[in-house]
Amino acid sequence: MEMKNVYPDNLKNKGRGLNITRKVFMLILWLGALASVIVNISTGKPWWSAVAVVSVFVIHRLLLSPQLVERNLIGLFINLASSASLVLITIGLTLSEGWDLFVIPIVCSGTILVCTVLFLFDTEGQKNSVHASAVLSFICTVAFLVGFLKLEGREKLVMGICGLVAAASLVVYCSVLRTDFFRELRRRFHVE
Amino acid sequence: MSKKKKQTSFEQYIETLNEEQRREIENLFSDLEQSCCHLPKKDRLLLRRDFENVLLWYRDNNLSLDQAIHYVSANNLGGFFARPSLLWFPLDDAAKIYPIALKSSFMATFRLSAYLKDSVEPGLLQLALNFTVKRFPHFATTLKKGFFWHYLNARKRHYSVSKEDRIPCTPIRIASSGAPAFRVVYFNNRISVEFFHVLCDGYGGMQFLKSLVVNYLRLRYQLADDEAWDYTLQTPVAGESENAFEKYRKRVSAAGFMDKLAVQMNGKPVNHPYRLIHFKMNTNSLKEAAHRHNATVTAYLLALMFIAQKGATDVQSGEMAIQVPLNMRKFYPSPTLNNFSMYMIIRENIDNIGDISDLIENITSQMKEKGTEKNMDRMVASASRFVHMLRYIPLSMKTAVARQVYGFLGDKVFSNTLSNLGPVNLPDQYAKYIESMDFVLGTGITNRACCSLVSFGNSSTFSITQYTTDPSFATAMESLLSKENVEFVKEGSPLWK
Repeated sequence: MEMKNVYPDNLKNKGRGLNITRKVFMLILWLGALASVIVNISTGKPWWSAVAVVSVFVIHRLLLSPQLVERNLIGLFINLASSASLVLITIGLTLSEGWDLFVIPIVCSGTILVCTVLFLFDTEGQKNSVHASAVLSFICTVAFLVGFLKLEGREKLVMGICGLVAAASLVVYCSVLRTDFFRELRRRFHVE
Repeated sequence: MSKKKKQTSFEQYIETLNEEQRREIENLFSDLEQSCCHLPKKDRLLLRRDFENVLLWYRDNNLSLDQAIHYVSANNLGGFFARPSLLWFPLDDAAKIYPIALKSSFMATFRLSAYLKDSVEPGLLQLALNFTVKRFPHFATTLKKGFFWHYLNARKRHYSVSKEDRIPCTPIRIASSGAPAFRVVYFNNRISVEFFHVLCDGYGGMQFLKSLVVNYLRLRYQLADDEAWDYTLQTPVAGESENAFEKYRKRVSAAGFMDKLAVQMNGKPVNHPYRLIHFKMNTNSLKEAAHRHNATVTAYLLALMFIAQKGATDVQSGEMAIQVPLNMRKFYPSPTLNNFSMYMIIRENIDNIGDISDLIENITSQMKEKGTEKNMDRMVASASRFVHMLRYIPLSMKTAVARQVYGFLGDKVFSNTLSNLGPVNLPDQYAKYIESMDFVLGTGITNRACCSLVSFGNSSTFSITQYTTDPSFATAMESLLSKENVEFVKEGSPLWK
């Protein structure tokens, strides 16, 4: 029987081409990471391939598998900071010890500052997105309380600055959003 | 010399009006300004443009300004856009899995469409959507990520309609800030709404579509309100966004969701609908055909589907299975518009698929046995128990595991789906402008086809979403329906490669 076409011609599955490109890149990157592990095992210490693998993971996470739910600027900065911290920790553990504790608080302070400025410029638009930054600020405040007692020298100084920036940003979020801040926390941590 | 700004069509129209008419328009827009004072400026301007477009359309169609203003009154927006977005909705038990299993190439969506007797006027449809959305606060939301579960956060914004430009049921872009989990599209005489399953099931979606269509028809043909029926004239009630699974959960032993893997139809799988086919049948003729076999319409179609499926696979042994969703509102009087459906799986051994009468007898007895309230209660209990068990596990961990499990098991325990929405009713004053409706499922992962049925008036539309390049199943269904003397017209899409 003859079929009547009731759909527009040339409808596209938008995003399909991008998905295929993403998959090809992922495959190439992970194959590269695997190759670096094999080469590293054959050459022995230092374990530089750990940095390659973590970097591929970060690229995968940030560029090749973007957020499917709630993609926003603040979330993007937080992801960037956490990924950068992950790479820095790996470098610190495998290649060059001792400076990661100095750099990571700087990265986190910078991220918190950027997020707070973004929030203050568009409070209404960002009030539902600020939770990720608040969590980072909370983690940094706790890290400051722990780290300030244990660290020495320049690490103690940057950790102190990071803690202060984080605590200040939490105060800013609470005072600007007031009840909205706690309402947002209730939503984010609901279990029902 | 300053460059003079080009006048818009609406400004030109205003100039043709007398003083009193201008005042009426000013009043309309000042009411509108008040009614959407909590929207961002960009959205307020878009809303204003929608009103302007409709006034121009009325002018072009020779409707007096008084009448036009009566139909586009800003009162139709209620106070919805004048209040801040404070509401939020936890997902119901069935909806929780959908965002967790979400992939860039897969989203559980479905689509409901109404075919009108005249072409759709986009401007009127846009205004109808503005008037409809206030009645469905649960739909005027955006999906958010919590620490343990996703949830829906109220988002008041300008919701747009667009001309159809994507393959139906392909993923809706929900990632950007404030993006809705549904889309309204139009093409020729068809109005369609595609929903991410996280919002509602077929029943909830149909209430939305009916309200949208009624609002559209009211604007298009200047119809009177029907307060007895019209959803949009009533105030939303709390129960409409309740998690009915939780409310009606009983203390019964849970039934497992695991089942035997079913034989799948053959054919190269495609990860988006490859073709849509609608068999628009005469409802009486379909009922007669079913009654000739002493069967319900669902059992009858299931039998035809089993026969057609057998011809669409080279596998000689094993069981084929069809998932049949069941509306739980049949058992419990919940007003919820969220998901409140469970399903039964009808199984047939490939060897036994042959004679239609035997098949129908077997299918009917399985439906009676499996579709009982007690069995559905057991499924509700297992869904709720599962959700309860996972509630304190962080979302990121659940997502990592669920994606693998969903991808691994997915729809492999059945070979096809038949979702029957049943008859859709509207008051005569609206129904006379509607030709038919259709319902399209977009949830296939492994399955090569999904089927659905919806009736409107004397037109029943059986739709096949084909997820393979192999046309065997659809071809077999067509010849079976012809052989059974069911009157139908075949409509559909070109091949989407």
